[in-house]
Amino acid sequence: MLKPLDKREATLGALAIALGVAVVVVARGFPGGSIYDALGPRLLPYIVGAGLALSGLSILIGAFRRANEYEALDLAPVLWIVAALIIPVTLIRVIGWIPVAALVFALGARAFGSRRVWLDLALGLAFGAITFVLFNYGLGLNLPAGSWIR
Amino acid sequence: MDTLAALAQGFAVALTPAHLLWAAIGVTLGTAVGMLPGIGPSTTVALLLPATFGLDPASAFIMFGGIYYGAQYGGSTAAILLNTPGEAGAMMTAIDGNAMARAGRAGPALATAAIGSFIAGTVATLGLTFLAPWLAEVALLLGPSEYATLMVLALTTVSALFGASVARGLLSLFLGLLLGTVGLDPQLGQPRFAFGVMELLDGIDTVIVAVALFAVGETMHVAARFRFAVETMHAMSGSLWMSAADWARSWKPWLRGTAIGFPIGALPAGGSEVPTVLSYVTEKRLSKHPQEFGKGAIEGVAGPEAANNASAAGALAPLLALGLPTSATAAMMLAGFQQFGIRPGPLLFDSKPEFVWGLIASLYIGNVMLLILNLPLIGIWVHVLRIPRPWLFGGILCFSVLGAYTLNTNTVDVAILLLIGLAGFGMRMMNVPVVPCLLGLILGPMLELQIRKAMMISLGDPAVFVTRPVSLLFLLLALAFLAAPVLFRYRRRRP
Repeated sequence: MLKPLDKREATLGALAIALGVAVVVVARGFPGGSIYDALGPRLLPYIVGAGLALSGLSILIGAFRRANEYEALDLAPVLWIVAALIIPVTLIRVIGWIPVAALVFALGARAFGSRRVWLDLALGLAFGAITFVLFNYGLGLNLPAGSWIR
Repeated sequence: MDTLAALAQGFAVALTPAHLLWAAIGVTLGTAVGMLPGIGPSTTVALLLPATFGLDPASAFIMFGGIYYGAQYGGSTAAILLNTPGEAGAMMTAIDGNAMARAGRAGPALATAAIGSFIAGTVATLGLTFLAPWLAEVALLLGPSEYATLMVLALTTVSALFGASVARGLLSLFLGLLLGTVGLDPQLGQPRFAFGVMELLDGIDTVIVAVALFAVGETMHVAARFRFAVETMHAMSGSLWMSAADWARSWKPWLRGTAIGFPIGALPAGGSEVPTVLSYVTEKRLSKHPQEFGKGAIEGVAGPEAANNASAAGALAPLLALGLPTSATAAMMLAGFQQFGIRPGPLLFDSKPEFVWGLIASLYIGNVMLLILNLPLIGIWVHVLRIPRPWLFGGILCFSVLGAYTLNTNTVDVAILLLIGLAGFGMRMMNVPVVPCLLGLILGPMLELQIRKAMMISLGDPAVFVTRPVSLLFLLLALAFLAAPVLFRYRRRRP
């Protein structure tokens, strides 16, 4: 009766259950509401926690029933994109938007197999410069020039 | 008659040069993002929200409406010429549309898609014109318990209909609801799930989640499959003109597609996927030559294309009249309403008639613009499809960072963008749909408020949700949607 366990599916289900339990545990620390709103801030988190755990359980049970087929995925390009997004988190205040845009663009292009690094950087630089002018002078928003300028 | 007078006023608003310009910008942008993979109308509206902050709401929403409609047109072009639907609603179009293109009949396929979209869009906008005010009047009768259960119904149907299984849809929905609870409790101001991070106290912005799930998550997913995917572009060969036989085979599917798309779009069925599939199946069943389907049957393009445009118009009815989004783009438009401090719902038609009717009137105008953009000018758009993928996705990532950062000018938002983007990639990898998550996020706080209001009115008695008949009906319908797939599977297993 026991068929090969679908490991990915089982992981997904287990993660959802764990998250659901964690939500309820954290929410137990919230204070209750008034008399007619007894659960107050805890109400929705409780519902959400239960819902996560139940849908996770259903997925976990499904993992024992049938093995799914998954499409082939290549994770290396995803890492390039992660790198592309870590750059603005850490550097946007320091080096400013324009060089950040160039790096994001070039790393993003690299994730899709581009090898023309200098051309990509130049295009990203142009993109950064155009949006910088447009946003800061046209729309009155505040993109950072970078702290190294001052 | 009232409605027509109001609509006439709306045209007076929509026909001013500035508003015409915004409509033109909207439909052009919409067509472009509808064609391109990795970015769709919901992401576009999300990215534009910070930039439109200084605009007057009518201009912004006329543009958003144009984007929503335009994307339905653009999606078909990519589906037909590239076999990669730029938009979820164009998935069915890709089957026969691309087969027609391979057979050298790209022209008629594009033509039937554009003309069908125009007819469906116009008829459905007419439907919206009359349905929305009526719906707004009905909505006035709903109390908190009815509103709460209506939202439960909407969220349940979206979760049940999207994705591979009900459990996955619900998982996505609860993730969204969880994200929606981060920040201050709406009634008592109790901080929840902020873990001492200042930036989280304001809650997680819908814009960031939308951009993360749709743009970043999708970009990662496409990148992960990029090595395995081959795209071939079919030249725009042959005449654009449809032959007499093409017309004869197209007009009924257009009308049937409209009839399917509009009501389902208005129902909380989550956008254009369900109506397009339904239209395709209907056309195949009614056709005298079902064997042609999959090999280039024009009905398989005409029907679904009409259906997805009609569903876009349908989705605007509950958004405007009830404040209830039924698709990802409608959800982002709701976020836009919140940004401008406008409360969609029954009172909107009374308090801001020039805004609502201006928006509706501009949709008629946008449709005419789109017909021109997508038929005589189709040749220009073919070049948009040729943008090298590395540059396209590099640009999408840049825009995503730009949108996330400029929202509140802080880097925590960009970090959230990355984390939720990774979650979105994981969800795609595991076939967990992302739309229920977004709808859960935006409707969660409203749902919580209505539930707690209803409980206060009933003096803390939770039975209020089952003793009031309309609430009970909504809840039973929601249960039926959850149970239906399970029951179907059970019946199929034992014939």
